[in-house]
Amino acid sequence: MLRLFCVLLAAGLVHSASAQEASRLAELLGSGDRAFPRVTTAREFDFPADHGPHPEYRNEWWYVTGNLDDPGGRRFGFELTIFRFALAPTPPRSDSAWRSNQVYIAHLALTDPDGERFLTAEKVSRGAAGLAGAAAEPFSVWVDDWRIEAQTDNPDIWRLTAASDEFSLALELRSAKPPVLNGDAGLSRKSDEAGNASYYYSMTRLETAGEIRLDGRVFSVSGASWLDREWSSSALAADQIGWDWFALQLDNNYELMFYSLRRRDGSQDPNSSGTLTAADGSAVKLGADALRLDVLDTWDSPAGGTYPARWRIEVPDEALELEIVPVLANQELFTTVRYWEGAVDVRGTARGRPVSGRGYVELTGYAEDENPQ
Amino acid sequence: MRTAARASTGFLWRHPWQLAMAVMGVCAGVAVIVAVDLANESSRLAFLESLDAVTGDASHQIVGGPGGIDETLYTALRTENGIDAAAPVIEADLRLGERTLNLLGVDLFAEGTLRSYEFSADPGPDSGDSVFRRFLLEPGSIVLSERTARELSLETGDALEVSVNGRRQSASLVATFVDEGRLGAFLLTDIATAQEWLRMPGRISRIDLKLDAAASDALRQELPPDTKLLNAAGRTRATLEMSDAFMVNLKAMSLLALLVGLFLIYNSASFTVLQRRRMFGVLRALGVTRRQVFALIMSEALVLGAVAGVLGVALGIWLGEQLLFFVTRSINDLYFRVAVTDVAVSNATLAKGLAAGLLASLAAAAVPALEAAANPPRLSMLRSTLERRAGALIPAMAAAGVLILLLAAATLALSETSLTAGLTAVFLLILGTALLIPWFVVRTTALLAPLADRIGGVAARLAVAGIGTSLSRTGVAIIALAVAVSASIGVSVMVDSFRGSVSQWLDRTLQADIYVGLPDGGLDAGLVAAAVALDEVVAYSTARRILLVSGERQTRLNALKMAPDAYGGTEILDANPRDVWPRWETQDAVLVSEPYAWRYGLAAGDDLSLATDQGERVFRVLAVYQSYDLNGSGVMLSRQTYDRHWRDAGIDSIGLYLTDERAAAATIQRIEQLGTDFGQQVFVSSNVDIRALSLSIFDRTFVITDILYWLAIGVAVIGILGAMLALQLERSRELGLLRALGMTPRQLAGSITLQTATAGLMSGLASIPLGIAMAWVLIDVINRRAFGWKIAIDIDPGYIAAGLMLALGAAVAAGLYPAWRAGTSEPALAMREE
Repeated sequence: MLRLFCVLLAAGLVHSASAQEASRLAELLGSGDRAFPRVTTAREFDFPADHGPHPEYRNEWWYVTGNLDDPGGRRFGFELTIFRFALAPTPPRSDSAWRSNQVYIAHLALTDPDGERFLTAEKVSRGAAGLAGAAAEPFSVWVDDWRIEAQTDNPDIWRLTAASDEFSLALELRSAKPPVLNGDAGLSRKSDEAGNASYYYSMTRLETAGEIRLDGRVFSVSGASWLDREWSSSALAADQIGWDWFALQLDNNYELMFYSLRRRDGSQDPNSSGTLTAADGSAVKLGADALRLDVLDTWDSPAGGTYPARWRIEVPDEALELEIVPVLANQELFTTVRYWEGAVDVRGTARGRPVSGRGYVELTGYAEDENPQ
Repeated sequence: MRTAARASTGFLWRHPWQLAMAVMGVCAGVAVIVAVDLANESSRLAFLESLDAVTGDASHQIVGGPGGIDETLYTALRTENGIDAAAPVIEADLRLGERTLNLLGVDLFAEGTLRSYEFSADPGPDSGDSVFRRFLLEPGSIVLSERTARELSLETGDALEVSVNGRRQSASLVATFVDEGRLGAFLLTDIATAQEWLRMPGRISRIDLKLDAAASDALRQELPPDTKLLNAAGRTRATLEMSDAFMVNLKAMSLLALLVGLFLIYNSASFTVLQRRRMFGVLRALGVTRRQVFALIMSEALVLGAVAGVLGVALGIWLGEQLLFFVTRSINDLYFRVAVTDVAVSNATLAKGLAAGLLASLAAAAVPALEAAANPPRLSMLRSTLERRAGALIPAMAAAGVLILLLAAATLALSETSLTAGLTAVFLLILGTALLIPWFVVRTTALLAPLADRIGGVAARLAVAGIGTSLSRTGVAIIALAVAVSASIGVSVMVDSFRGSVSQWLDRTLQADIYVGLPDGGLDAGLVAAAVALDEVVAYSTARRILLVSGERQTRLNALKMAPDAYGGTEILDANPRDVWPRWETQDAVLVSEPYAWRYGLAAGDDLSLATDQGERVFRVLAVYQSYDLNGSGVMLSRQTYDRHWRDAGIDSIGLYLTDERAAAATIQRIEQLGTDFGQQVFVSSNVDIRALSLSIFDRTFVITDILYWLAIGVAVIGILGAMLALQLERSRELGLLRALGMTPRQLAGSITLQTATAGLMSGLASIPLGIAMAWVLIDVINRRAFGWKIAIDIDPGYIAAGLMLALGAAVAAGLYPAWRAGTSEPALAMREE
């Protein structure tokens, strides 16, 4: 997925309560430096090394989303995303530990359908002086005290901790399946232009358990999470305006990922693509033609802009037919960039059998005023 | 009533000169009150705001020892303690051309929670190289306030050179910020640039935090011993306290301006009534009621006070702007970098000025108005009635004056350290003396009149005696002049005595032949080693000065390695030096400066707790030493003791003792070369230069004092001018008569000049005892209570003579125009007047 970075880059599509910070960020990310390496050829992925950072590329992210329940039937969705941006292709030399070309941004969100609440928080820091960063072995990525890291005694278990003024997460994640390489063996094309691509893998089923603190209460929760990992040096093409991204976990132990790149003229970019992962971990690439996406409903943001709000997805070759419904209409983030990222429910049929599931959807490029003054 | 009013104002319009004098007098009085108040308040505000700007919204600060704190503490706060309202700061002095600015190294990512800057960024044609990227990535990227950039003629994108720790560094102005006067004297860089320039990788000056009480208590328990969690407000207060003494000086001057201003307003306003009492008599004779006359006079005074008051406020604002420059310069020299900001016009100041103008005008008019209204019509037409009444008041006033002087003495005797009581005593001293002056004038002119008769005949007698018999008009002016002149004597004697003491102290303290140091920051260790190893250097001393903050107490710590036998350079005040020095070198013991001892009530034998790198430690106070260090001196301890308690090898300055002090110039050159070799632009000066420099800073500090009392004198001169002019205009008939009796214009002019000179002499004579008394109170009470300095009083007779000449000169100058006018007018015309 190109994700937020593209939004950030796309002609200052920046929104924030703090116009100051937003313009700072837009400036910061506005570098059109061509000296960064481009993603043009397939590569050998190496785990756990590739869980760590690839600082020579301009942008990278660790994108965790998940759906959790407590034993009492209370349901939650969460997102913890850590972005890395390089301001320059090479790190500056200095005696000061603060001098760095790396910047980290983190978004934290909690969906509380029972409370009809969507809570968010954001952190920005330089990737220096230990304040924010990422490492491969043992795996860790953090901004301040928001972090995802492998347990020292068991590197297969990752701990995710993050807290805002309103809530906190303390979760353990264990992958039920090996990493899934999206696109062509992990090379994911985003437009026709050469180099406009990323390296992209997903951990599609992370068994999750832990605690959520909210309103002074502690909820013991469990469920499934999803990690999207992507790094590149490119941005949206000039004729692209945004994307819809789906990460769905079905109860037949299949997972479906699909991103639809939207063009300014309303059409779908043929580089849109997806991956269907089977119960045994084997994955099939889905081209733009292999999947049909229909919008069934829309939601008007109080801040302006109309988002799609219910979808039907058909994958004829797999005899898969799904209807996707947000668990809460308003899951719009007012972080530095304004976008919609929320928990969804899935219902449908797979090869004639009823199937259901949960997932996350990300919608960008819909806010009318993503760069309000 | 309308006719009466028309008659009254008509008089004033027909005598525009008198009206102008009245307006000018009230206006000048109000202006000086407003100006001094504005300059003082604005500089105080600028000072506060600069402190606030550095602190931002922080509620607390974590500070460390001389080397700052380990940056990993900051990382731990964010990544482990989950405190995100925290920002690291590196603060140091930096030189940019002739200016010294506060270098503020910040992490913009963290600043948002505590401080906000509005960058007026101009990305320029190559917007790819954004301001923010350059600020973070390019060493030497700086941001200045718009104002500072303008003052230095710098534009965004300019390359420049700055000096940090004496080392030249290349910088580039990547943006400016809108300062609103708050952060004017600051230069912002990324924290990485600050570490690179100051060569302090791994260290930061402090951490600013926004914490609630519970969080701060919890954090305090966790901090390493070489750091402290301080209340930000407390720290600001402590810094402010250091400058309080200076502010007190300004307040005293402000008080003087208020007094002289009030005298002048009273003087000017009372004239407009007194001159017309004949006309008011006529009005009464024509049937205007008492109440109407009173109302008429008071409403006129109200209009005069209001109109002149508004003019005075406007003039005062302008004057305040001019004064502000000098006030802020003194603060910059002494305490803190403050940007010269705009005058902050507070309503309180304006109200004070307007109220002074109005109330003093009304009060001035009230007495003659009551009289004019109360008198039978014919009586009020007689000047003599008024003078008789005024004359009857004189003994009572004198008695009150004596009482008030006794009260002043009692206030001083009963209050031990209170500065407010000291200032009250000064006020009472002036007031008491002022009340005695009319009595003094009557007595003296009575004595002088026969003398004048013998020398100059009737005209001279009339002129001299006229002062005593026209006190209702001249009295206030003579008092105002006397107060202003006495202030000039008092302040001159005080400053001169002070300067003498400082000068002696410098002679004693500056023992080494050459001093090497930096305007800020530490000397390169290699450079120190090379300098002391020079062949011609026989001995050396080193000094390290750090600022310790402990609660609301700020302590300047001076760690000295003295040259052998150099102890004589420090004067021990309350112990035997032979006992003190051996213990000072080796034990956990310190010396405290006289001002520090005064402020914190310390004496030999007391214990003093200081924040060392291992936490609070108790040190024995061995003795109090003399110090006039205007930068605020504090605690002196030996280098050995310092090294035991602080992990800091830094040296700020060294003193070199040469085999031949006449060869100092050559050594200075050699050391400057060493500076170049080690990449530090050091200041090398002979003790003669340092002495001169110190005294010039001293003089600059008192420039503002000078300016203020010259203002007071200027206002007093306007007062005496108005008084003399009015008196001579009133005497027109008398003078016309004298002309008719055969006096030449020349003789007449002489008579007038004699009269004004006599008035000036009265002021001058009265100002001498008052001036000396003021000098004594300023030195032994105000200075002692404000700064803790003991100063030897040294009265130079020259200042007294100068005061006398000033009073005489001012009065004679004020009489020039009336003298010229009397000399040229036609006798018959003069007699027909009115």
